[in-house]
Amino acid sequence: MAKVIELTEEAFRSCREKPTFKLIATLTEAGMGEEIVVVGEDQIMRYEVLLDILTQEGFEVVEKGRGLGRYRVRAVRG
Amino acid sequence: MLDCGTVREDFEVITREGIAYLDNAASTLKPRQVIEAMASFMRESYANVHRGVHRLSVRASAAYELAHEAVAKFIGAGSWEEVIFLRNTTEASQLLVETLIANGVIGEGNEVVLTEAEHHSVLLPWVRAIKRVGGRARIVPVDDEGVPRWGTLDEILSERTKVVIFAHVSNVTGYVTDVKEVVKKARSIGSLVVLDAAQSVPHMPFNVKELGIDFALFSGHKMLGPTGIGVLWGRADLLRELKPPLGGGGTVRDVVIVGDGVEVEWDDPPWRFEAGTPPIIEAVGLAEAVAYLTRLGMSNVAEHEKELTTRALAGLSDIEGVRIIGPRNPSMRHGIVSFVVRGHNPDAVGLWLDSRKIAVRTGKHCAHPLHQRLGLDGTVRASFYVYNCIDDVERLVSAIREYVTRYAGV
Repeated sequence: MAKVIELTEEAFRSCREKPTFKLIATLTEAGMGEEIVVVGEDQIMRYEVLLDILTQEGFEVVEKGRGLGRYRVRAVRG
Repeated sequence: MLDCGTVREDFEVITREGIAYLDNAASTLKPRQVIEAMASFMRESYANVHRGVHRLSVRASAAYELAHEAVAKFIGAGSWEEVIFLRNTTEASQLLVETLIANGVIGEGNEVVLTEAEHHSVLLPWVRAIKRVGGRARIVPVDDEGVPRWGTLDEILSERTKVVIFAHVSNVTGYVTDVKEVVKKARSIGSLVVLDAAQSVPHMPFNVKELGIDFALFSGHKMLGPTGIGVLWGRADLLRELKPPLGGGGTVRDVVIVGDGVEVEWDDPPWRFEAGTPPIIEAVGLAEAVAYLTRLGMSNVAEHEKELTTRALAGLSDIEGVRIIGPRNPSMRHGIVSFVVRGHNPDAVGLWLDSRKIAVRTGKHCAHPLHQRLGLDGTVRASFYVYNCIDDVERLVSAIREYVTRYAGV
């Protein structure tokens, strides 16, 4: 089951639990073949920036879509 | 002159991971000397302090007291008895305000003065405590660069002012306050001065006597030492008069139950303020960190950071779309450069930098009122230390330039 990360304003709980922290924690802990889904807003992290970070962290994007400032990306660690 | 290339060799994570660690205002990396000192102490000399009559306790107690001496010397204190070890700056801040309240130094009708730029470790305990006892916090506002408007201090100070507390160096803007000027004004109305020195003691020559302050707060982990140890320094004559609000093991000479109460004969400072088993191992680590910094020379450390800060300011200011937070004049600030990339969430920028192995801090840096005043929802903060070289600054500037080039039009 893919881990879902929400990079949205709604998902912000506190400085300790911010969405970007959850993202980096998930990316660094993900094992080979592990799948993640990122549901995000451009105002939190631009779509292109996310794609770049995922690539840098060794993930392959298998599905992506965006519209009206929101996006959904599914990626697998290679 | 500080040779950062040689210094780096003492920090394994830098050489192993190739990381540009620019998050020193949050916490600093630990040199192998500090790690080895703590490990060696735990292996060979550990025991509880000031309690046993066995030789391990004697050895541990000596190491613990030496740590007080080392810190006292490092900050130009009159004696080691003026140095109280606690968990961190935040705890030191809490203990101090509660001590002053418990001893009637501040209370109903009194005022404490602090600025809009303060870290929450100062803001929260002091504002809440003074209100609780029926007093008032007076806030020195900041200008559009986030610099406290110390020119308004004369209007704010009054015979009701008991304490002026402020950060020596802002953890957001890096602005360096002229402490002696503030002390002069505070003294003129008989107020105590407490300095949040968390961002200054680790980074520049620091002397409590020369500054003329009454109390100072700082943390070991921000100066190459371990977490779990912070310092409350206080003038000896003041500490001797103050009774602690927290009692516990190791704080008394004698306790006698009388009726339904206790009569206490408090021990001398600093012990009366160090309730419970203290941070013994951490103190050994802090002493070694102090020795390391002393060998480098704090003037060299300050000069080194000044150069890095100046270069970072120059490089980042040159990038369109980057807004520097705080004074543009490098002579007014030290060691810290916060900025925003217009239109981009700072957390996203920080995460992107991390993917390039550049570690920065993002967010409001536990200084929410300052960010609100400046109309910011957070910043990216780069902060420098002894193991950063010019190449770290160049990596940061180059990475931000790349980010802006690739995504500024997106």
